[in-house]
Amino acid sequence: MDDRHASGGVTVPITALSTYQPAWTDARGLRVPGPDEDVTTLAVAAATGLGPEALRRVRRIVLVTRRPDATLGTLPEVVLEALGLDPATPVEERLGGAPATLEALLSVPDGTVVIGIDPAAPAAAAAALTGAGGVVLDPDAVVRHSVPVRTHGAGDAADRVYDDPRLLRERGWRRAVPGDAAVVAGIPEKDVAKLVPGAHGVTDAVEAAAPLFALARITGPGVLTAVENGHGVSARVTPSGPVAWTASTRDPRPAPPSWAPRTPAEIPASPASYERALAAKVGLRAGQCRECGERSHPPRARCLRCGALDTQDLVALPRTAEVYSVVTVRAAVPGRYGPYSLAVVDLDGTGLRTLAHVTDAEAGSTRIGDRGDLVLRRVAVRAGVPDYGYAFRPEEQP
Amino acid sequence: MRDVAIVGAGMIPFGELFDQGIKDMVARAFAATLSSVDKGMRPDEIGAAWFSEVQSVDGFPAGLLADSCGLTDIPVTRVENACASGNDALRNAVYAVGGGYVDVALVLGTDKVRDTAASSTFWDWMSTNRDMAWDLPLGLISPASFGLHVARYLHTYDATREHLAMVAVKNHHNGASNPYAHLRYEVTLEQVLAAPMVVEPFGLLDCVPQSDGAAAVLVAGRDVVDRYTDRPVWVRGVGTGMDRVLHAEKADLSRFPATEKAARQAFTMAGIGPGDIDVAEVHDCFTGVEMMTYEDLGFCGRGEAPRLLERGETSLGGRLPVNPSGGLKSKGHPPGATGLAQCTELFEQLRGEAVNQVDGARWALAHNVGGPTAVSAVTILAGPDA
Repeated sequence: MDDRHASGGVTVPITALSTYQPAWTDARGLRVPGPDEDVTTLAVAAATGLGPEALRRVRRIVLVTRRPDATLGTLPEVVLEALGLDPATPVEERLGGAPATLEALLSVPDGTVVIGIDPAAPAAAAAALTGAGGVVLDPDAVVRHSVPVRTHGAGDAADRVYDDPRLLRERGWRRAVPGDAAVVAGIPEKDVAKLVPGAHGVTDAVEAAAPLFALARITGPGVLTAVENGHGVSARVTPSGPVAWTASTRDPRPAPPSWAPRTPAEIPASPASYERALAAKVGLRAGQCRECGERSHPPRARCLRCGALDTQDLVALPRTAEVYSVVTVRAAVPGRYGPYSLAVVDLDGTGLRTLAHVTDAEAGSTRIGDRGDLVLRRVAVRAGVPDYGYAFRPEEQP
Repeated sequence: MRDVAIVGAGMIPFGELFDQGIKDMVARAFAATLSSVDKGMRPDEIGAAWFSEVQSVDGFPAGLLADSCGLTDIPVTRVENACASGNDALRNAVYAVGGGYVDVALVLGTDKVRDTAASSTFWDWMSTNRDMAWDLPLGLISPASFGLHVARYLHTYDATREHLAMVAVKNHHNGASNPYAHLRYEVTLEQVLAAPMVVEPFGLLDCVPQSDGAAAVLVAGRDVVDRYTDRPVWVRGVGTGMDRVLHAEKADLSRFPATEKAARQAFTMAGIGPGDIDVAEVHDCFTGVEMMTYEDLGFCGRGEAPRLLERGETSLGGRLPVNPSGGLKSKGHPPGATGLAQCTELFEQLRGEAVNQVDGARWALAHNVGGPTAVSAVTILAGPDA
């Protein structure tokens, strides 16, 4: 016990939780991101699940992942636009696994959304909004030893694993997990029982998203521990009321062995064009004329109805839609995975449409009249830069 | 405004012309067109030229035509209006000759699709048609762009993939005997339906080949026509129609409003109606587009196009043969050349000289629709005896 240190964190209430898992599974049955998903879209998917009411209360964002797909570029701006948040909202990007997410939660004021993002299998993302309501977290203890059994060099394709499970368990996990832990995040569920009889684990996520998946399944008071190698962070969890919790998990679909295009090719890009389109494209907004009320998507300099110039304000569009026409591209298109379906969809109640690729469904399975929602996805990677927009995700058939 | 006639028309055989650069194709199409003039024409009798080219592959387009044809002493203008460039370039020349500014004009079209590798060709040509932010990154390749229309049409009306296949069978049959056609073979309905899918609802045999080629016409004002021929083909109507560029902003994907507008302009100018047309060359880049276009041109009512195909009315020997040349489908589709190759075919049809001659043809129509289905050009021609 002498290596346990009192955590320096603060008492934090959590009012809303949201978990997200990609629709696809690898050969082991573990969830993997779709071809149009990355850390950014996973973060947005998790936070979107908190709902518009909760998102209005967000004053700060903390993004935690062990595996960022970029360290400079588009992530914070796209997350803010896609969630419709004030661009001045502080966004903090933290590098870390399960303990980092719990530490983040124990260090933030009310109105912060902490998002844990795990792009590697089992891929998942989860978001927690701090604020009065559901469960209260109290810092309990921190343990930190250097047991570098699993490591990852910057730029490496895969983790390096020193193949000695007992070393990791005895010198890492066993010292990091307290005997009174009720739920342990960050290590495989089957190993949790060996360390602390009666404790639960988390199967859907093992890195930054894992503590939030764990919170979602805690029903009574208990200790939640988040572990990575020899690092453990524990918090006391006290339910004090209902937590608004949404889980977005579609029926699993086997992913192909690779999403790589059959022929590589560079898709032309223009960062200037990207920047001009961002608010309407990533925010899914129309231009609405201040003079006559006409809406256009994408926005226009000149109003189609009254001819006024530069009178359009951006207004949010609904994210539910119905397929107006759809085709499936089966020819190999250089630079794109395939086959893929493209749909023109009617945005509910607006008289406006948008063109979107169909996602999270088998190509060719979507028909005119099908309903679904629009979700932020990486529509392409152009000259190495991710290009974000909305994809049509058909409703799952019951 | 004075009447304008086509006094010469020619083309080179379309195909994957790896042995010819764009300058070679242009020079050969020019020579073929000059030699088609019954009483002959010297290059220095040409007052201006319009050059239809969609994608520049060998540098400055207008200069390329002037240089390759020895026409550096007259104004040359490039026209780029997607797949409608050829008939639209002709419209520009008709305005100039009809307005009396020029007595004789050359309209030459070409494109060199096969000078770029298949992989880079795709994105190079896409960027001429797509919005950089909104639809280019989605991979809205041309068959998908047209397919969104045809899919909606098939959903709305009593039509199936079999009807699309009938277009392919008909046009391949016509093109098989055309020495200028790229794909000179017949196909069966079963072959078309069994071909690998490109973009549903289009299989490989519903799609045009990637072709190189060049074609041209020479137009002259009424008061000089007699110098060149006693059998002119009159340009009676021209029209170019536009539509919204993004598919999401097109009100009704079961039609091509650009075609409707171009046709309305051309028919109004010609003073005739769709029922007067004896033979037509219609843009069949994808089989379903030809079918839908019957309706947009007014050859039949809404939803009736499949019946025309079932009854063979647009086949050779039918009421209104469409694409006796083989169409884009069999003849090939170098976009800048396509409209002028259509006019070359119709020039021959109206003079009774075509390979697949439509007996007694007096009025003819050429049609293109292109880009993001946002532009169409229609030309209406009348034979010497019309």
